[in-house]
Amino acid sequence: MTEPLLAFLNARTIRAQVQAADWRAAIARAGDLLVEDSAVEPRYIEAMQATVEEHGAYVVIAPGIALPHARPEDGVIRPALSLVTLAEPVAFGHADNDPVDVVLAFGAVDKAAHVRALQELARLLGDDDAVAGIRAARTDEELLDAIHGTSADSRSAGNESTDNDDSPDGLGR
Amino acid sequence: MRIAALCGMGFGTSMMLKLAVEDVLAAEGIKGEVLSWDVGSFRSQQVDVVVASSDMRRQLEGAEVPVALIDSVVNKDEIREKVLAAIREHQAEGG
Repeated sequence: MTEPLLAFLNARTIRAQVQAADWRAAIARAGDLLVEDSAVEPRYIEAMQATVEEHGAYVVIAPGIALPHARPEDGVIRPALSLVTLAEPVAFGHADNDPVDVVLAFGAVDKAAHVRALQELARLLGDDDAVAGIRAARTDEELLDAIHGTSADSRSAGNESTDNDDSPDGLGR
Repeated sequence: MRIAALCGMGFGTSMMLKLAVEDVLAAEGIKGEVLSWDVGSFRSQQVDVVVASSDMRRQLEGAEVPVALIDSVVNKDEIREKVLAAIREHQAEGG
């Protein structure tokens, strides 16, 4: 059985060291990846931002890590997850866990379907070494390695990432 | 023992909390049911203990049952410690 995280987080749905001026932009950058991957409608990004406005920054689930999401009916096409790391951390307004430099945008179609992905995600984000690797990654390739572990044979297909390096400091290794 | 795992929408954070709390209950041999809700629906539910993100502190002020407020939803040690404390508090109340 495919690991949900390996399936969700691939070269199309991760970006290392993106620029975002504030929490809204950070959510938009993570959400853009899901829109480009045809996993959510563009309105889902606004819905994720509205969730933070409405309910506060509880989406910052751990120090420096935000998991913005909205409801299935807000425009989710299929279950999806994206991950961006920020070049400059931003504040979400969380009393304890600000500032945020890892943003995972998450779209669910129903409560049951994404449980396994969340379990995998909890395991990944509970692993301090893995999170340190995610934060340290300068390139998308390094980020994928940090997410999926360093063993090359565990990498999913689709690793031949195109030149989507739009970060100003995309210096490569 | 009925435990409510809460977040703003009952989907993401509360589901991660639910999974973590279920692990704690299993490891400690405590019988209980963990349900994930959004904070609005929860008001009408009968539960023994509430587990939520620490950012929901204000929404949960005045709760009638022990509340475990979690800073890091992925920190198993923190969740175990705070959830067990809340369960003990509930038991001390004769629940």
